[in-house]
Amino acid sequence: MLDRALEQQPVPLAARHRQAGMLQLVWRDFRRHPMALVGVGILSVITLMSIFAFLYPYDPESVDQLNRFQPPSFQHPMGTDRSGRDVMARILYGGRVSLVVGIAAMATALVIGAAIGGIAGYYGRILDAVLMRLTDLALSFPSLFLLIMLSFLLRETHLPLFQGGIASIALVIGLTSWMSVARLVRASFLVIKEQEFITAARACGASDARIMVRHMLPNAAGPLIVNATLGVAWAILIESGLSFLGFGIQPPTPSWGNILNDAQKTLSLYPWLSIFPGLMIFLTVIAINYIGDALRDALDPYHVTGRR
Amino acid sequence: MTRYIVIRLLQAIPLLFLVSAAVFALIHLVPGGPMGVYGKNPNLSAEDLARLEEKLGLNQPLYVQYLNWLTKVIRGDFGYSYDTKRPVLDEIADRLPATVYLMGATFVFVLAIAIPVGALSAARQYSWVDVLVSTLTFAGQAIPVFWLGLMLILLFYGWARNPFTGEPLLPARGMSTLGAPFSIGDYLKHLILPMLTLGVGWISWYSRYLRSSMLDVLHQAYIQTARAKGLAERTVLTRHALKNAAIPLVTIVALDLPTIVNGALYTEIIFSWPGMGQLFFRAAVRRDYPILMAMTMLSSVMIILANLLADVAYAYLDPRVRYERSST
Repeated sequence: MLDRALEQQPVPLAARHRQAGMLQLVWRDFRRHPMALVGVGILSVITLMSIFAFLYPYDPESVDQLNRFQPPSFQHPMGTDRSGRDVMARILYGGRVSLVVGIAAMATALVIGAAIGGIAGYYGRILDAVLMRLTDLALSFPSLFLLIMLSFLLRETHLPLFQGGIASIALVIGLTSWMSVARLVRASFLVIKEQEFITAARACGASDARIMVRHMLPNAAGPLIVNATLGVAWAILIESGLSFLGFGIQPPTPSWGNILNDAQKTLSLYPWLSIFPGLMIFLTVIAINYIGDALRDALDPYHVTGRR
Repeated sequence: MTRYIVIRLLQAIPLLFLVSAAVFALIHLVPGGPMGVYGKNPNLSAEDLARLEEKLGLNQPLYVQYLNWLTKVIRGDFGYSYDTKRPVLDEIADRLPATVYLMGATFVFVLAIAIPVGALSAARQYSWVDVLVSTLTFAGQAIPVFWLGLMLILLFYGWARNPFTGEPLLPARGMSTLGAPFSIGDYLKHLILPMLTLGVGWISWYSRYLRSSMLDVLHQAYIQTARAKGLAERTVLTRHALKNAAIPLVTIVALDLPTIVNGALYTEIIFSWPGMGQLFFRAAVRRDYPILMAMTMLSSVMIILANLLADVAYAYLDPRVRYERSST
């Protein structure tokens, strides 16, 4: 397309893209953060273990009443719970739930936030005023209340998609965390829409939707990627918290939060049951936070990278 | 400034109406409301349930229910808890002191640690202190508060013993020992673990925030001027840098003030703390609509006031910010 060829203005991220390949540049800055590399390592291990959970010999939901509350051993690396289920198996499958919910929730928030913030920033005027007041309104709701009520609401709608609670909890978290994305996208769009390549694209006859999605959104990507990365960690914390309270993923489907909820009833008698699920949440969240922090540096176009 | 505050407060009124209508609708949209909870009681016949529904007004159209609620609330009547049959305001008044006590103490504790830690790690950027602080605060932000609470209980209640009495080192349930005569020491001992649980994440967030705003300030010209005048580094840091770096922190602190009233859901549940968080949890599980509505309204009012306070404090502390002429 002609309008794409015209997009040569030195908008920071795109400009660096021309010189050395964007990924290469981002990687060069990213790898200067040792903790972020550790984070990538931890997250890869957790992700791989969750994906290949089926290779692990125990089933997360099979009950064995003869072997309840076994301490960690060679056979059961994390012990067994009050129904004799293998905790390691539950943690592995729970990891799937946590990661999927985290990513899906963030994707939902991105779509809603980018649509609202994008339209507000692009069209301005009344649409901007209305949509931003809506964002303010959403921010003045007590969020935990909203989360709990929405999770009740979706849990009892009986749509097949929402069974087991995974999709519903992801949707609920997405619905309550799009506001920062909206503000971010609006702010970027306000700046980008004044650039010449947008005028050029419009002159070439590109539609509003095409300009927003193909020309403006990629140029607003830097801060969005950082926000989305940290948002995944946030969503995982929220999901595990809701599940811990009993409002999130419903047993017997394991999630790190509801494993912990189950374990805390026997906290002082069988402490290992409580240690592992929380440790997994902690490791995942800290790994993602370190990655997000490094990405913030690597994707910041005004960030000068020491010696080059 | 007075004019600005009055305008902002007037703007808050329609916002509160909107929030209350939206929350009311949301609560009542949820299937299996209080009637679902009552329905599980085998002692209630179908007629009993119908009479109860009639008495609570739950069989009326939604907008009638909302208008009924609204007219009463404007007269200061928040109704009765479905669960305990006591006035909602009494329930809240019972719970509020415990929450204000816990959150107030935690707030002081958090600020007392976060400000020096944040300032120190900025002043010694890239030193071992800074690296240590940065590692700990990263961990503090990633640790789930409910797990931290459980691990602290495990450590200080389950494992560590008082060497003289052999009892657990710190209590892990409630606000004071049941049945024991009042003693300040007993209250303080019960406060330690919940306060730590709540404080860790908060300290991490505040001190990271202060560190970065302090680093911004330290690069300003007036800091160089202060140093060039030959002032002691200590004076430069506390009188010139910290004072200015704390301004954005004041805004953040003001925005966090509503939590003093909302309570801490996870911490209160884990430590059986008789506060607002527990009240909210019970009301959510039991679908106690009047309590839920009152608590959400209280918390929305607090959020709005806190936002206003943050803006006013910002204008007061930073003379460059003025609201009078410009639009909000």
